[in-house]
Amino acid sequence: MTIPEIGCVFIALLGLLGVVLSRSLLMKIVGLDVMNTGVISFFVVLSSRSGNNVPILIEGVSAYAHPVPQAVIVTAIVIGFAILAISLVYAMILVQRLRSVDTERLERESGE
Amino acid sequence: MTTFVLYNFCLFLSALLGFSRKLQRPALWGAGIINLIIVTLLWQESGTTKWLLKSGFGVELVIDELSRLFLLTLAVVWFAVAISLENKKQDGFFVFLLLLFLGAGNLLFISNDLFNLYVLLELLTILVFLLAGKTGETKPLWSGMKYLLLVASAMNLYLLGVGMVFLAEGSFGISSITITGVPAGFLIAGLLGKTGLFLFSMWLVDLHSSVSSEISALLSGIAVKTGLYALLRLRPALGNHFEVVPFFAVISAILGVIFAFHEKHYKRILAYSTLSQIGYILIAPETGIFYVFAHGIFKSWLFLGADLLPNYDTGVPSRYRLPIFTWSLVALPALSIAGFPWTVGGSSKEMLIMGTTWWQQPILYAVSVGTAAVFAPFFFSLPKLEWGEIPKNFLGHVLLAFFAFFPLFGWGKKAFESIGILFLGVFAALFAARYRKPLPRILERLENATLLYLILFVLCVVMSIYG
Repeated sequence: MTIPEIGCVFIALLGLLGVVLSRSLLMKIVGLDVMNTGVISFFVVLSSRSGNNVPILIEGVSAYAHPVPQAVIVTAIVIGFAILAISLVYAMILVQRLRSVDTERLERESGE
Repeated sequence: MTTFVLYNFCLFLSALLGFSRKLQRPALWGAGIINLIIVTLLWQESGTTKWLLKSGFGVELVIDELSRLFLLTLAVVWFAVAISLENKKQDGFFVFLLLLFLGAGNLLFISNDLFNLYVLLELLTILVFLLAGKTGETKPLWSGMKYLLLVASAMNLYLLGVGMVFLAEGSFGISSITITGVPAGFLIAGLLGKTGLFLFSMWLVDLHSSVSSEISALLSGIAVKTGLYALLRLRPALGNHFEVVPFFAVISAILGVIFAFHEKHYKRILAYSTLSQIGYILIAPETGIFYVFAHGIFKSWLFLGADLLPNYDTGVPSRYRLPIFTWSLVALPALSIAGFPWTVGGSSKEMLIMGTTWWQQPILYAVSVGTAAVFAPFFFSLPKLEWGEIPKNFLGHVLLAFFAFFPLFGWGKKAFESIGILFLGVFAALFAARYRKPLPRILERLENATLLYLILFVLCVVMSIYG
């Protein structure tokens, strides 16, 4: 793997670390989004392995970017956005009811 | 194959009918019956049908034995849940989600493509999340939140693995790739987080025990099987790397039984038992395929029966004297999961254990005995001598009962062995009853569950480098 690719994987793992270590529910959701962004940029970077040009036939150009990873990752962007949206809605309801974003407290007060 | 895909798009469209109050009921019944008929027709065929959704870099679809089994499980469990829901008042959005669930599940169980699997798994994750929070109580909302945080992280790891595989192989189609090295660890860790193994998916117990019984039945019966399908589908491509999975499965199967045995809350017992049974299937994935169907049937039946009990606390003695009718609706699936011969549970346990190697057999027998011990209080008790009234969701019970007992004709070759296991379980339950006390729920807290998942993910990656 090249350095930019490793960087993207690193960002994604950093996001996971955020989900694990942060005690605030909102920061956990942000961590999840960072992770998703890392994954998406990984796909974008890996598609530029074979070249940086738009994959449309141009005279005198032979190095084109791979169109497939870019095409499929659009779905993942949409899914990531959907997850961000609905998790924020749930977090909003939870915070309204229990008056806290601290996960330990939410866990305690959400009941048996 | 084309027809099947188009049919599922029709299902997605028909989900809109759920919003109409008049058409809700016909839509649920119609989708259930038509789906069951179509899947039964597919079940009659044999052999493998492959299809590439249009040319180069297209989506690979396949219908083979594995797909058929999962499709049948989905059809039966979904229909049973749909017809038991109709007595409760539903709003349109809920029915809409339920119909989407059926279509998405159908499409998932025929896909043979890494990225397509990801999309449909995530779609089902979102649907489960929305279905869980439907009642609006705080506890299901919180457990849904836990589920989403853990599973979405796991699926992101899976997606990283998919990217790495694409880098190495240049394709998403599972039939044409071999997965080696680090990506294997990413894929396995991601899917195990979604599947519901002890240690990996500690969200499961809280989620399955706090939502309404019908949704629990859907979750335990089919939603945990989605990750399982992806894992079993990837097994040939993973090759040697798959050996990590049975290792974790053994831990899950044993710990699940121990926790279930000590638990007193009825739905939590079932949820722990789900963790254990998923491990049970993954210990012997070659022969365990049919057990997926069996588990779907009896676990969703047990969950449907949860509403018949006076309360969920199985420690209260009054619970044991149910009227005959109610008693049988709880005791029969309990017998089936405990491995009573001539039921789907018993015969599929036989099939599972028959083809296994020396190290698997003692573990599988021990887990069988443990499961029998967990469910002994439900069938090894006397009913009150009155008929009781017929429950409202009786039709769902009848449908699941039909599929639980159809092996009456044919299988059940090692009846003595199965009955032996059953009685060993009952004795174990009687003997160990006094040592039952609820175990701590430390591992299920969000902080601990995520940390545990991170550690296991690192372990998976390290194991995939050296294995």
